[in-house]
Amino acid sequence: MSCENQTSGDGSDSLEIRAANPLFDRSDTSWLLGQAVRYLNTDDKKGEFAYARTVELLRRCAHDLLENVNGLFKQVKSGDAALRWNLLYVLGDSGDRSAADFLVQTALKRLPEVKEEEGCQSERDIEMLVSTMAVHAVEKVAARHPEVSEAVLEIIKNKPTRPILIEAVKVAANLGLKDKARELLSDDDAWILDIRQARKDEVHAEPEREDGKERGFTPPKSGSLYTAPSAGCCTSKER
Amino acid sequence: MASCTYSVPNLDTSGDNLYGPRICWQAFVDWAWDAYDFDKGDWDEGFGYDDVCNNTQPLSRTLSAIWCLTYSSPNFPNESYSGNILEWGCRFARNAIDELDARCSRPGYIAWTQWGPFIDDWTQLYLLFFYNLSVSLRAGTILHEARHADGKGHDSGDNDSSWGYNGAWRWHVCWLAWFAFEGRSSSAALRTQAKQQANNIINSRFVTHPGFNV
Repeated sequence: MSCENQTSGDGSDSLEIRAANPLFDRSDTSWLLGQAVRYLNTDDKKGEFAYARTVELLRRCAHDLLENVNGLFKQVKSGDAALRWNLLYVLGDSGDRSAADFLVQTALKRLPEVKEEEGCQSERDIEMLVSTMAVHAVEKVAARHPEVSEAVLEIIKNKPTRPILIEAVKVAANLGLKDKARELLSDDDAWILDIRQARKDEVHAEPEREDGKERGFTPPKSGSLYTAPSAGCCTSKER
Repeated sequence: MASCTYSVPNLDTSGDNLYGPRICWQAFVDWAWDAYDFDKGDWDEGFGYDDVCNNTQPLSRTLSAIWCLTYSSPNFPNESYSGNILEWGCRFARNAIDELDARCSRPGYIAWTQWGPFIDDWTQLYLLFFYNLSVSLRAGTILHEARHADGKGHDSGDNDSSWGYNGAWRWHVCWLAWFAFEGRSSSAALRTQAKQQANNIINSRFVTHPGFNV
C-alpha cells in the first residue's frame, strides 16, 4: 500500500489497483493448497466435501506441505492476512507433526505495537487474528498427532499478548493439559482458566430501540422470498 | 486529495469471490446506495463507482459487507429489535450511518466515524477496511461504526469499560458471534474468523473482562 498525502475529512481520493502475483503455481502441492483455500471459502456441501477430499490428498501426498506454506508466507510477507489465516487453517487440517514448530512461531510472531493515535481497530487486530488461527491449528494438528500437544505450552510459556494467551490456555485445556497450563500462568493470569463458554442467549446486545416508525429502506428480497410472477428476461416492446 | 495504490489480495480467502456475484444485482445496488447514502464523488476515481460489480474495487467490497450484514440471518426479512443482532443489525446500521465514504487512509485506522451536534456526520472507510478484512469482518466493522454514528463512543480510550456499557465492542462481538452461530450463505472460513475475532475483542477490548468467550 502506498499513499501520497493523507486523506482529509472532505474532498475525495483516488485509487489505483495493482495486479497481484500468482500464488499457487510453484508446485503440485502449492496448487492443491490453492484448491483447499478455494473450497474452504465456498458456502455449500459440495465445497465442503471437496475441501475434505483435498485435505485428505494433502495429508497423504504432500510431504512438502510445510515448505510450501512457509514459501507462501514469505511471498506475501506481511500482506494478505486473510490468505495467511486460511493457509494456517489448512495446515491445521493437513499438517503432520513437523508443522507444530512453524505454528508456534507464527502464534508468537511479534504484533504491531499499540499506538496512541489509532482507530478502534488497526493492523494489530488483523495480525492478532492470524496468530489466533495459528494457536487453533496447533490444536488440530495435536488431535491427529498427540505427541505434539505440548507445543501449545510453548506459547503459554512465552507470555504472548492476552488474547493469544487466552486462546492458548483454552487449547491446552481442550488437549488435557489444563494442570500444566496452570503451572505456567502467573498469579495475575490464573483467572483465565475460569473463562467459560457463553450460552447463545447471553450474547445479546441491547438495541435501545423499539420497533416503530424509523424503519425505512427495507432491503430488496431475493430468490424464494419473491412471490410475484416473473416477467421473464426477454420481453419486447410493441412498436 | 490523496492518491493511493494497492495490490489486491486473494479473492477467495477474503470472501469476495463468494459475495461479489451476489451484489451484482441492480435492485440491491440501488437500495444500498440510498440506504447508506453513498455519493458518487466519494466512490469514483478508482474506488469502483464506474465498475460496481468488480470485486477488486472498494465499492463492490463494501457492498459485499452490506449484503452480508443484511441477508445473513436465517430469519430475514424479520428485522425486529426483539430478535437477535444478526436480524436487526443491518436495520440499525442503515438508520444510524449518515453517509458512507471511501478514502485512501488515515494512518492506523480501518474506519472512522465523525458525529456530534453542529458538525457534518460521516463514516469513512479506508484501504485497510477494503483490502485487509474479509467480508464478514467488514460487516462487523460497519455495525461497529454505526454504533458510533448513533452517538455512542468508547468510554475508556479505544476500549469499553465493561460489557454492561453496551458499546460498539459489545455490539461488534454479538454480531460476529451470531454470524458464527447462524450466518447463512457463508463459508466455514468466514464463520470461523468471525468467532475468533469475537473472542479476540472480548479478550482485549473490555477493561473488565466479561468472564466468557463465545
